[in-house]
Amino acid sequence: MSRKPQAGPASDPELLILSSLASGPKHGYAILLDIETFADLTLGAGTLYTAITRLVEKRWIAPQTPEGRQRPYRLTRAGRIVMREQLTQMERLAKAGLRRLRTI
Amino acid sequence: MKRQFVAALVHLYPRAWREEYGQEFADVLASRPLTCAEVWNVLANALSQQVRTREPWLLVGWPLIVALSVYLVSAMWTPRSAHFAHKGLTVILFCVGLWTKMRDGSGSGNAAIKLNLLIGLPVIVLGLLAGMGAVRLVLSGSDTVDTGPDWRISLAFYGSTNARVSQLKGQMIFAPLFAIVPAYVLGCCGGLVGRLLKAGYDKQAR
Repeated sequence: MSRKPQAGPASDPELLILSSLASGPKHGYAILLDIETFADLTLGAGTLYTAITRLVEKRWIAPQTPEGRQRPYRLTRAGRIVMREQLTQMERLAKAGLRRLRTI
Repeated sequence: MKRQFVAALVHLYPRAWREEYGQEFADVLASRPLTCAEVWNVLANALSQQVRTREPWLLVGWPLIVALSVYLVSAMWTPRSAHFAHKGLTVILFCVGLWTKMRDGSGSGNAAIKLNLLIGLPVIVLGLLAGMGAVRLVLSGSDTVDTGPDWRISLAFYGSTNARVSQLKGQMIFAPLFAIVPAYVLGCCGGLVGRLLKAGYDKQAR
């Protein structure tokens, strides 16, 4: 069963959406289901669309031509760059933190 | 039933946002169980979208109108000092100018004027009622001239506690108009501070 997001960089809605769209364009509901699958987190619909609004404004994701009533979003080039930077930073932090934990 | 509830929830978002995302958002909401947590999440995010998109003077103005109306009505039982409202208004106009400048980068003086006119509405209404004789204004202060029991109010919104009652009615009707220039200056002062703060943040971000 998926859990509610806790505070922390790994549960940041924007990063979760970027990660979801990294595997291809998706519409809102598909993003929610995907996040539940790969991150084991449940985002509220309000949180999802607030984050989508911000990401579109920042041009990190872009809406595509609607498929029926749903409109898919895709990751932009700027979004890929930001996502790579953030994940690399998180990876560095995680490695350093885990290394220090082992010495305790 | 659920569709109607979802439509009501979506309606809480700003119009421009609804036009862009409303339909797909409603579909996502309709396809999930509407638990209390989900509804709360929608309410919180609708509020955050409203705050993000509305002008600061409007966001500040409506709660202030309610607060000011309560303040005026409560003066029926307990005489109120005008100085508190006057000083409070000065701070609020300054802060709205600052907020507007930091948010949009422009229009801080105009935002303060609009807020001044908006929150002047309850004062104008009270002044009109007093002018028509529907309520009686009673001043309390160093220059009290009327001790009638009907409306025990010491309010003179823009610092005119010492005015005579007959003058006060007129002052209350026109006070927001007289205060346009001071409001503009206060808004601009707030905007100036906002510009300095923004420049500081931008420099730090770089």
